[in-house]
Amino acid sequence: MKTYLIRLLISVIGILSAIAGINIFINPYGYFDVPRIAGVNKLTLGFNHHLPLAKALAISHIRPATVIVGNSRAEAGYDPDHSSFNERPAYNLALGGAGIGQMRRYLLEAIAIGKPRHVLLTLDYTMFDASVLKPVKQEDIALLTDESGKISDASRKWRRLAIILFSGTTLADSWWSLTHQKKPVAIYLPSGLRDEASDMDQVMREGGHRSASLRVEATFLAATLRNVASPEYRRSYEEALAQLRALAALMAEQDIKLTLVINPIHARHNYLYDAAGLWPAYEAWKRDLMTIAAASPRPDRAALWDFSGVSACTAEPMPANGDTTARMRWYRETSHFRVALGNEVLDRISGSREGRNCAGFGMRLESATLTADLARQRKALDRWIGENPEYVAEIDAMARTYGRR
Amino acid sequence: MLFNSYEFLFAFLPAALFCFFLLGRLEKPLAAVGFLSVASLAFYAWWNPLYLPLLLGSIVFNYAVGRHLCKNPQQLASDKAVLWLGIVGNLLLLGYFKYAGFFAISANSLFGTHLPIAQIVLPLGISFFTFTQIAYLVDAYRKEVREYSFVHYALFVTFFPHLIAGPVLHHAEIMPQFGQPGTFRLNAENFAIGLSIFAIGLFKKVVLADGIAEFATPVFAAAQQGQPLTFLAAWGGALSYTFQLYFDFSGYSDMAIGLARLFGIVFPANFNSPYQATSIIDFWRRWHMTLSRFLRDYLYIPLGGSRCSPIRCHANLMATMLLGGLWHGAGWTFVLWGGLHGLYLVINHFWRALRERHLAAIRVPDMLGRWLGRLLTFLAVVVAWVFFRAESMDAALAILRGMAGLNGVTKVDPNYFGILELKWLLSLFIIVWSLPNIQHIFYRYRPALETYPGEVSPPRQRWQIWQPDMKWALVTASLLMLALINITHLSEFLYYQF
Repeated sequence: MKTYLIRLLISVIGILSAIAGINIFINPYGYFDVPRIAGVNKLTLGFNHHLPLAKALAISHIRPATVIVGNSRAEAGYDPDHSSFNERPAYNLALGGAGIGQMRRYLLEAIAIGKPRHVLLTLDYTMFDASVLKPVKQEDIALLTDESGKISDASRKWRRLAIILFSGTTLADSWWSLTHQKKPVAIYLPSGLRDEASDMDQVMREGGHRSASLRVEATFLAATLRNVASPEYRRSYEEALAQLRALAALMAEQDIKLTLVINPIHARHNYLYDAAGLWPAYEAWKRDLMTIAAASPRPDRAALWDFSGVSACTAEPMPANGDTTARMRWYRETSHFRVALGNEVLDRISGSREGRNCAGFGMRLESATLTADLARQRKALDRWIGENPEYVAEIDAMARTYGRR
Repeated sequence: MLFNSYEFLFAFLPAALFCFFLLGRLEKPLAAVGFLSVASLAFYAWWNPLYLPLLLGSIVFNYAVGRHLCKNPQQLASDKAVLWLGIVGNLLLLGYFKYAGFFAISANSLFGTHLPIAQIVLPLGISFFTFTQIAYLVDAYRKEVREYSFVHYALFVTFFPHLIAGPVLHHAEIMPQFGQPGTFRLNAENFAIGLSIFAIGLFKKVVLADGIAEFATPVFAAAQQGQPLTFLAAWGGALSYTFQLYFDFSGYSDMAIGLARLFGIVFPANFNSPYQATSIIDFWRRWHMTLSRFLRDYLYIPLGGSRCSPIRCHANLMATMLLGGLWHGAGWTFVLWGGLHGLYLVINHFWRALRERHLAAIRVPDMLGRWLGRLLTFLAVVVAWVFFRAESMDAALAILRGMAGLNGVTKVDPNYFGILELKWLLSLFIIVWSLPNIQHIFYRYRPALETYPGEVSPPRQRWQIWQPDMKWALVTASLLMLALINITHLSEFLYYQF
């Protein structure tokens, strides 16, 4: 029996070593500096399954000076390698489906680890939904900091290392990464930007831009209307605002430049708010954001930009439903924009190449002129409504199915 | 502390083993038993130290009552009163912590009363340590208990492998083992068998039960929210839970048996391939065997058992199963689950009698009969588990409506049923219907005590017999590692809530 126990011990050590070896070599989260072999481990595809863990590891590694945070729109829309970022390295820390709460946790982690000097905090109305305020399970495993943003427990680091070396989660991701190197899956670049090629291919596979837009718009309507109608809505909305306010105060306290950006949704999506009867709430939300930006202890270091209004780019015509050949220049679908438009946003914020491609694109919001700016946006939308009866009819029909219009 | 937690596996367990065998080596068996009792109390207190005095109070009370009952070799007139004092004391404790809220809610809704609903946290393992001690008191009253020291008694109740979720131990099979000198000697065979059984249990829990749980939970949550479930979604959820519960609890039991064996203690077997049962009577001789044995010996038989008129006998059965249901949880869904099984048993007995008396001439091929019985039993058990798992009666009925095809038979809802789930279910069917249990795999090494005679027996295939060779070392190491690398988030054992 003693021999059996020795064999058992050797087997355990052998299996454990093999698991760690595979995880280090395949390196699904790009954490280890190992040789990259095309078709084997060149692409770090673990990001596809455990993005919060992979990005948390990345910021420990990169310690970015500029951080981009947001949800899926920012994840695939803002390129950290864009020339407008002065503070480098820059990293796209955005996470698909993130709400303010999750963004806050990751931002606190980035601050605790790397002391960033510039934060591009990108926003849209859906991030204030009660459903995205819930804590994400992976955070406790992925992050070194606790809820307050402090690295209070050194064991977290070792636990996380044990997880990426020995866990079944990492082993499964290694296997998936190895077997999908040549398949059309989403790829995350070392800068944290989600490469849009696979998303664009998927849009085409699933019926083209118009079809994808209709799907996203229907999901938005269902989710947002459900959220607004829930008794939790007001409380969770206020909670999200409070978290954002605290973040703005923290940035000021740490002398971090804060750029708040309302994402450039398509004009159709803008009209969706109107058709759903949410336009007053949408405007009130922008006013609340303005109040937060204006109340920053360092107003010179906090700016709020709004790219959601109707402009030459955001009103880009959409191919017909089912057209799988035409490619839009600025959009994947009406909710998610392409890197080209993200670059326009960054150009506009930094003041370079201002308005070259997109007439009337984006504006910096100021408390004093906010009411006039919102009125101007409304007017532009009304003009778009008059010029696009086909889109309007399509969206009205969709809104009717949800009891609106 | 959970068996599937790193702090248990890599801190508590090695430290407890080291100190226990060190004291054994120093030839201080009583100190070793005392140490193990204290360590078990620490294991219990890790969850909530506030309930430690409750456990200690229960032990002292029952030991004092038991000692009084054991004092005289003949039964005294006062013994019965003392026994009832002990039983009522235990039931009051259980009633207050487990059922007070349930009774208040039920009374308020049935009679329109306004009883205050106490928010009491259920102390872990209270159902188990209360039942174990009631059995001890009853046997003490029957003069079937020899006098034990307090330290031995305390360890019998608190021994951490069984403290939280069983098996339900009987003092006569465990306490004598604490007195055997061999228990305190480090033994390679005990270690090899214990570790191997533990590895199988951990694999069942972490890989199989937690793996299939991901398909069960959303379906029951959707039913609770009132969403209509399609035929496949409802069956997928019910079957997933059926397997989750089995692998969770039998995995826990295997871990308990393996852990006890590391300390040289042999526990009774608790599962014997219950989903291979060919009738409901057979099912209850295979599922949570130590509990069904307890219910038989300390409830069903004292009520009159089967030595009475058929109607009385069936009433006893129903009463036993209803109480068994209530033991699992303070809720009407549990009562209904127990009642349903009671009804199944009554029908089973009725069918048996009918066959013996009137249908003996009808011959059904053995194999066909066995499979028909197995399928029917399995279906009946799955239906009953729906009530057991559902958070409310409405949710249970919503799932049963889906299973009956009332929301559409052909519609597939990819949110609740997909190819991956189908692969999981097929794999688990193969496991539960073809692979042996630990008492078969390790039968050469006395892996468990027989809860029912003949259980510890060879498996059907020779390759399934465990041997201390390289092949089994690799199999055990693989199971252990597959389980360990998947403990990234902790999940509690389902039976902890009972």
